Amino acid sequence: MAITTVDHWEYSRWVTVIGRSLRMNPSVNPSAELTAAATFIDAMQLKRPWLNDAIDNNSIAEQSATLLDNPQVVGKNIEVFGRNIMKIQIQDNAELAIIDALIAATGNRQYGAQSGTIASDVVK
Amino acid sequence: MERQARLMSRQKKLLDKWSKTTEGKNYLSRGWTTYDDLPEQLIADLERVKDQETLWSDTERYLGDLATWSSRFGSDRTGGIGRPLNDLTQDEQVKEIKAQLNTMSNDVKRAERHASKMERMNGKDYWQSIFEVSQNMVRVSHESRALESDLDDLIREVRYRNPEKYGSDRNMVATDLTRMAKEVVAMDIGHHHKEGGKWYVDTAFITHIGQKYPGGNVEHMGFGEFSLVTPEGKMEFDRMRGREFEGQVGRSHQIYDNVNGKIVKKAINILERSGKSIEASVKTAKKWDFADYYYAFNQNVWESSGDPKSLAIKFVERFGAEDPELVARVLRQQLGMAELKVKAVKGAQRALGRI
Repeated sequence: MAITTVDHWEYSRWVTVIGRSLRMNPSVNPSAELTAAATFIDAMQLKRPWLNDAIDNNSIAEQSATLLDNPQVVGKNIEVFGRNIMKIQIQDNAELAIIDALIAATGNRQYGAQSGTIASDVVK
Repeated sequence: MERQARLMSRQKKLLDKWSKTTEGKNYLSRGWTTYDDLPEQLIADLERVKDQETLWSDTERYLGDLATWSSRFGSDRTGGIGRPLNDLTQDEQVKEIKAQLNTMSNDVKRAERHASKMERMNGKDYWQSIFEVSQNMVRVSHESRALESDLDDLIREVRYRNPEKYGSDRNMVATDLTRMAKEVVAMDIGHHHKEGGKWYVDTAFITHIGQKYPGGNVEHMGFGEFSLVTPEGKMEFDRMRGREFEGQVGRSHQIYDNVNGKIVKKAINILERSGKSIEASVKTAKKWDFADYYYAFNQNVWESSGDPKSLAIKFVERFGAEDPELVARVLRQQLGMAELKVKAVKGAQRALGRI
């Protein structure tokens, strides 16, 4: 059963914006955010395996050796999941927890901020 | 078609161009296209023009607008029949031809059945068999038409009498139809009417005469045709020859019997005395129209036993003076039908290799 207690459109919007934010405004402190992002992508690929093709396409297109350290690739892949959440609701509590963890790790990026809440990460 | 996507014109051009390629047609033929399913090169091109935040949703909406009915069925997968099929189904002429073909194919099927029957008869009674075909066709059309109009009459009547209960619900009427119809008909007083030496009665008259005539019983012969069976003889209620008169309840029927009008007189007397039927005083005989002559022709020629040619001549002698133009039209129409049937039978025989 899909989780209906939360607004999946809102969650979709947050995840998509986080992905875009990571892509457009790369973190100056990448280790924290990108680790959370990589965890998110790995976990979500297990929950939504039908998106594997799109994820692989994005990753290969960048031709990068360290894919997960590349904010462009990470951002694009998170956007893919975000768009898919709008079409297919959050499926269970495990998926909700994965998304919540990403949102917590990226601070204000869910609202389109240029960076997370980490003080040293703010770009002037 | 209004396209609301807020794409750059260069992005629109990219999508337009792509949607006309084989790959694009295949994508659109699925009926849905998500941004993430698009080819990576196209996504890269779109993002290179401008990587706006709503690019993905605008692209999906734009492609949804492009995916018309014909494009969805226009791919190689469906044999590219989409647009021609769409055009064809919109064509009025094609609709007519389709209707005609349906009729013709039914004719040919019936003719085929009779042709195989004729084969067993060693080709004897060729013309008789053709008239059998036509008689069957006429009977079937009568049957369906009579049933339809009977049912419609009844439903309309019931609804008219109970407007509050049966406001617009036809199904509800149908469930109570049998009971209601009996009640409604039993409530009415019948009417009889004399015109041109012939008596015409309405439906209510038939209901009452069955109960009032001593030793009489109304029998349903099928297709809305009734007859009154009495110890003296038999009286027929001919629905096809009924002429409308003012005040009638239900249909009008011409009545006649096989004992020189004895039963007719007695029946009318009985119902008049018991107050179950009154004579309709105002004489407003309806002028016959094409359909009336059509039915009369079918009844007098196709459905009668005997030589159709002499029967047709009798028909013209009887009705020709009333309205020569309409009678001639009926004759022409019937002649066309007969020719069609002959053609159908011959065509079927030729197809079967039996001539």
